[in-house]
Amino acid sequence: MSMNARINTYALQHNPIESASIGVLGSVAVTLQDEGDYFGTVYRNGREMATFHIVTVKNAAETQADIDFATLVPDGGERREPCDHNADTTVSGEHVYTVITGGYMVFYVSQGAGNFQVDVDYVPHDGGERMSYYKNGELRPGCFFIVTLLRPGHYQMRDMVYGGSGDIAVAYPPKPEGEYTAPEPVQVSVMPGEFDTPSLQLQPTQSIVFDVRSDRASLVVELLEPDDGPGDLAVRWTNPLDSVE
Amino acid sequence: MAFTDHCDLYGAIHETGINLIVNHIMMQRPSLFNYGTKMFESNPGLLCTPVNAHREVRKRRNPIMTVQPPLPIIGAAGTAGLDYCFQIAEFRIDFHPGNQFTLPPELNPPLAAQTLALKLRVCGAIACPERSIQEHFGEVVAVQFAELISPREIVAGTFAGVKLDTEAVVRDDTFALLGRPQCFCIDVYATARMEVTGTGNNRKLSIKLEGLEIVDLQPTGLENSLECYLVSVLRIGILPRLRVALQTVTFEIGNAISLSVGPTPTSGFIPNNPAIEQDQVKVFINVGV
Amino acid sequence: MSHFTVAASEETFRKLFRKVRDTVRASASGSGGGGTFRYSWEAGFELRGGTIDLQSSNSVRISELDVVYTPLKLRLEIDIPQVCIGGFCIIPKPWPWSGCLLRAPRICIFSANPDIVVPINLSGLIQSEISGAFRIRTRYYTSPLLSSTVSYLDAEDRGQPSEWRFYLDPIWLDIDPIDVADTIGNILEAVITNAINGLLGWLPGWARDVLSWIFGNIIGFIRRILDIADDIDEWLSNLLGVSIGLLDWVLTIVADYFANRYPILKIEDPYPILDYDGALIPVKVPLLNMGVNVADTEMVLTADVGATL
Repeated sequence: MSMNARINTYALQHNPIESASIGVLGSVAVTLQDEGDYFGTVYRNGREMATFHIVTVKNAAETQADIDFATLVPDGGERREPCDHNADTTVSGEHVYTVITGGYMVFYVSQGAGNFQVDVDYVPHDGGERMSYYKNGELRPGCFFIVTLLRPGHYQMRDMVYGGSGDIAVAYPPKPEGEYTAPEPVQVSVMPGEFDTPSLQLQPTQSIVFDVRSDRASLVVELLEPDDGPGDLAVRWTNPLDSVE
Repeated sequence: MAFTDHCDLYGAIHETGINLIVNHIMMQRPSLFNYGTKMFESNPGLLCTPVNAHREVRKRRNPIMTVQPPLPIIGAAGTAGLDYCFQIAEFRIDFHPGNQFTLPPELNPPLAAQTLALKLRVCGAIACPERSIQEHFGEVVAVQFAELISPREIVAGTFAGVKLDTEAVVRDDTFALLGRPQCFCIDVYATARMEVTGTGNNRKLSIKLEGLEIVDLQPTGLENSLECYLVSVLRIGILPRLRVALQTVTFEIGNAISLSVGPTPTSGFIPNNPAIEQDQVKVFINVGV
Repeated sequence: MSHFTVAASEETFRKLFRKVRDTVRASASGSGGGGTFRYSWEAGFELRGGTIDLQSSNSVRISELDVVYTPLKLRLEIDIPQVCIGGFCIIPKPWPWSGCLLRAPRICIFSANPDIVVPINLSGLIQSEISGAFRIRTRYYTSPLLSSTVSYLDAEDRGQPSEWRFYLDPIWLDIDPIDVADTIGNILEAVITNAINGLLGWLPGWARDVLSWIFGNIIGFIRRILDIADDIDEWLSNLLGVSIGLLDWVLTIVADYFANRYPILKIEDPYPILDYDGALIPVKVPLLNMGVNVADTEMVLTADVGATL
């Protein structure tokens, strides 16, 4: 019998989910406020893994650059160097994105172990010095941290900068009935020291969009107590005849 | 009423068909009906009745007659013999009720139930040597006896000045005296029954001769002797080689289903098996016996 | 009156029929479907049983002739769609524009590549039944070897004599829909369940339950893909009979075997009366006017002997 399922096993294990360390279940969207060049460097455990370059212009068609660290840096850890990140001028080639000014760069991992950190420098088009734009995973107003929780259980959400916290309960999936509809994401605003919704009741696969309103934030969602459902069996046998309509 | 009410297979051959079959046998196996010495084999035109052999017989070099040794001359102590031929020129069968030909009174017509009548035309000839050859060989024989010379020595050498090719030919360690055949034909009538003989998968339909009559031959003793000879020829030499496999009568259907066949036992429903009636021979067969 | 009259009883005729029945054997394979559900199959069949009845209308009626499918192997390939998270719109474009300004990335957490493959072996478990009426058709087969230099005897020696052949020519043939026993439906369910367990069985229970919930119960999900309604037996019967076309195929093969390929009886022509006697050629007689008639209780063959060969 063929058992060729590809399961994103890291999706089952990703814990805690941190905005400062990009993984499968946690993505970060950072606004590109000004026109210019943005140079990103991707790290893992302090080691440089890849670079990328985003150019923002007034009339670009794209409103976001989707940067998948799994394709930039395959899980083998091989470094790719597609761009010359010391260039002063726009370089054509791989991993150069063109986005409308005011758009977003979205950091995410489609597969693999994750645990990526990213720093971004900015150089304005009208000349000017290169400056740090995004560093150490510190989110600013206009940034979003998107988290999708799979595993049922009790979680805590925390802001590591101002100390705000809250609870998240992910329910155990019900018995399957009819067709599945993906639950709508919930939006949580992050204020200094607090979340506007401090307690969430979610279903598995439901996403949380953290909208940063404070000047700085570094967010963590951590599973404190899993809910593995009735019984401790790792493999459950269900009577196929019971589950048939 | 169905043919197979009391058996698995039924086969019947009408006498018209039988006689056509016999004609085919005579054409395709002529050596069963024609006999003679080598002289006749080498000169088939001298036979009393021409042999109508099928082309396959000649193509496959089958003999058109069975060769026999010369007819020994009594008293010649094996030294000399005469050429002869013997042919069955016609062989007709009439199933009960007899309506093809009339049986002679000696065979008690009309044809009895469950019997068949045979009409044969038998032809024969002895090649008679001329007087001079006969007298010459008489001298040879006299010398042979006087000087105790074996026939083999006589035949092997040119003793006594025998002229080969004009007086005699050597065949089978004897001299066959050359002569002209004197042909005759006679009509012979016979009655017979049919039986299934053999066992297991070797069952055959056979003709069993009952009576035979040569018409109007005198004296009676000569007729009886010749009749005896003909009956012996038929019973021993010819009829046993004309037995037909039982399955043949039913188009070998038994073979088609790979089952052995055997005659249905007689009973009130099948009093005779085979049955000769209504101008046919009928056979009733059970399969898987 | 015919020279030869030969009759075979109904039971003997049955034996002739059984010989042909037992030779009928065929196999085929194919594939079909498309999109999320594909199947391939390998099938063969043989015939068993059957009630033979000779009819006074010069025909033969056959009923309850069992078709046993062996082998009968199905291979179902089912596409399990990917399970992904994200992809939703975070910031829609402001009016009057439509669309999305910022969209969450779409991350797929489960995909099967290739699909679930469910092999099902139904050999010997499925049957259907044929009934039909036949007429006996007489055909003359002329040996292809005959020529001006090759005689009837040469052809016989080489194993290819001319023959009178009798075939069962179908007047009509019916085949019942494939009868799938309940047990087969259970087998199919169990096989699918096993396939899914094999795929997911190693996952932690909660993960399997999440996936099950997403698939809306995997069995039900599979059933939706396969378009299995309430009765899995009926579905399978339809798959085999109609989609794969087993029934039509069987009928075509059976009709061809009886009508063209395997005569119930062959009679050599010219017909042998006496076998070879040493080197002496066999004695054979030509058969003419071969006829066949079926009555209520027997089959009767008639023929005449030809005068010349």
